[in-house]
Amino acid sequence: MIRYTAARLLQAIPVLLVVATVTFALLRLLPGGPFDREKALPPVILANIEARYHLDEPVARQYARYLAGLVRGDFGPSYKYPGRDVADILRDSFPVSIQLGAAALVLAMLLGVGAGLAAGMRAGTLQDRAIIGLTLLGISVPSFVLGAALVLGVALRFGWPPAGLWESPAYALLPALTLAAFPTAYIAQLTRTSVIEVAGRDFVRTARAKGVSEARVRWVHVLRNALLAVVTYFGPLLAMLLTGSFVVEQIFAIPGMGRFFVTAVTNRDYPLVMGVTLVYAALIVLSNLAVDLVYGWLDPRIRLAGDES
Amino acid sequence: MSEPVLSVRGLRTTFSTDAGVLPAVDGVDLELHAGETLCVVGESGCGKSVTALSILRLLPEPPASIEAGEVIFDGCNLLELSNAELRKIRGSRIAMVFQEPMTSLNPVFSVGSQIDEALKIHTDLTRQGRRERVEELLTLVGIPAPAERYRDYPHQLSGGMRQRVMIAMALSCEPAVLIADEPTTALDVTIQAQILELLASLQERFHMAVLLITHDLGVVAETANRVAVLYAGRVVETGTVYEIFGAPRHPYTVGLMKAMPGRSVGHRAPLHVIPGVVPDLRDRPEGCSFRERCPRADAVCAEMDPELEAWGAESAVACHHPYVDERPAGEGG
Repeated sequence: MIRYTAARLLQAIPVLLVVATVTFALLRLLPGGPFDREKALPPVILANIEARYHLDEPVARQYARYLAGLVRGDFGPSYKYPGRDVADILRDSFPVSIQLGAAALVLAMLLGVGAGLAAGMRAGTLQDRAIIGLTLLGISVPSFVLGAALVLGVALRFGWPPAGLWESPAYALLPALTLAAFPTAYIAQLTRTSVIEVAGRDFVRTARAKGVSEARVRWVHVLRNALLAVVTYFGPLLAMLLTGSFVVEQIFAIPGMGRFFVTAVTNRDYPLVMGVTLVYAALIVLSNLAVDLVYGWLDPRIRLAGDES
Repeated sequence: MSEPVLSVRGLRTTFSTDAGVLPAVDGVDLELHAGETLCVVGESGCGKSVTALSILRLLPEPPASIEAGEVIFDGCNLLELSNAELRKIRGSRIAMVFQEPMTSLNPVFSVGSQIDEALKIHTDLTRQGRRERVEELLTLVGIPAPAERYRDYPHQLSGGMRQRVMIAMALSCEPAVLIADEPTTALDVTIQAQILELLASLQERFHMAVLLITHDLGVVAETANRVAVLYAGRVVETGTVYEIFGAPRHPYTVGLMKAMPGRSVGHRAPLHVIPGVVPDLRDRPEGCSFRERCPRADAVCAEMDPELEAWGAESAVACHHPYVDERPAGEGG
């Protein structure tokens, strides 16, 4: 297990290198540059600025310089926010996004699995149908509509929880709910289908034939098998929560990383785009590793490479 | 003969489907005595498995529904017990082995813990005591190195080994009755023989009654004391294994015997088949359900459904025109 984890972490290095290379190349292929303005800067000033950021060097040289910086943990300066390093910006905004993402992830997992179990364990009942109806709503209402509705219907009407900014845990409530709506509904449907499918398998009948109680059949024999499908979704879910937080961060004026992800590209703020992309890529690599580890633990048929038994 | 340990009377189990209510089992009577093996035979869809599953109420309801009949075990009707009372019998007094060892074990738990679960439910043994008992059971069903196999997961074992684990699980509480639903159908022929031998030796050791469901007459000949032949959800003939093989009376049983490969007269004689197909459960014909395929059917068969009538001490047949050639005359209908 430790060897497997170590091997996977080592494999992440080439993955991140490829991400860095492709992103770097794509950025330089984009038309326009970081200091293009409607009113062109005087050529001398432009040349000075470019020389300062080494943009006058050949692209290959700039690439090598960037990678060398990365190895030292230096993400470079931001072009758009002079005086601030990309590392500074990430240090300020990344924790906010992670907190928001984690809150939404926990919400989606708890509510989604809970609702899915409540529906699937009682398939065909009114309770089941009500939950299916709610999940349809959760899947089809876009986050900017739900976010606005929550601000209007809850925050403005009752004065609590706060509708913007990021100061205490209460500030996370509405944005996390908004962000979690879609994955909650999706996970609920996934769990429900999985529970119903597993409940019809032969080993469930074996358990009953042994005299196992109905509660234990459901919560031990069915649950663990049904969760396998949900864990598989965990990786894509995390990626979605992180990249999807842009809209929610806008609505609730949250100083997270999502907004940099979009504005940095339009600003051609090369180092900032690189930094944000690499952080996202690393997160996704880590979450996939986490999924595989959990999967190996839940399902003995998956033997992780490097495990001897 | 002694009191039966398990008797099924007038069992009727239906399935509600889009096409209407299907009576998969329609008035089955069975008696199982201590220490004996009763084989229930019949074609696919005749209601063998449904009968077996109905005894312990293991069918999902709905769509299944046990509409009539009784299952008497130990003086009480299993069909009237509460779920909690029934659970005390399941796996402890009456245990089951299923057809598919590949899918009948839970893939995410070790085989040892799955056997242990039955002991935990039905006995007061300590954790250590249960552990020892599980290893003992694994040894008993012929699994070498039980302490290591305890930790194995089902996917690490072969089909035959998994079926042995299922048998160990079923025997864990030394049940009075073992219901085996096609226990060897999914296995290789050589493994089949081993499993049947194992069942027979364990039956003797624990003095269990075994209800063996099968469509394989070879298995019946090897294992049965008595046989019940099922057709379209009903018992059409019961008798000792000698009677059923030596002097079958119901035309359907006669047809089954003739259809056994290797039993036809002459070296390369074509395989005998019973003409026609099992009647559609949705519209069972009036009268005898076998009459459309029966060489002896006549007007009576079209009007009256024959009742299962006792024939001597141990047999019964449901037919208006049974084969009586090898029997002393006097009875019959």
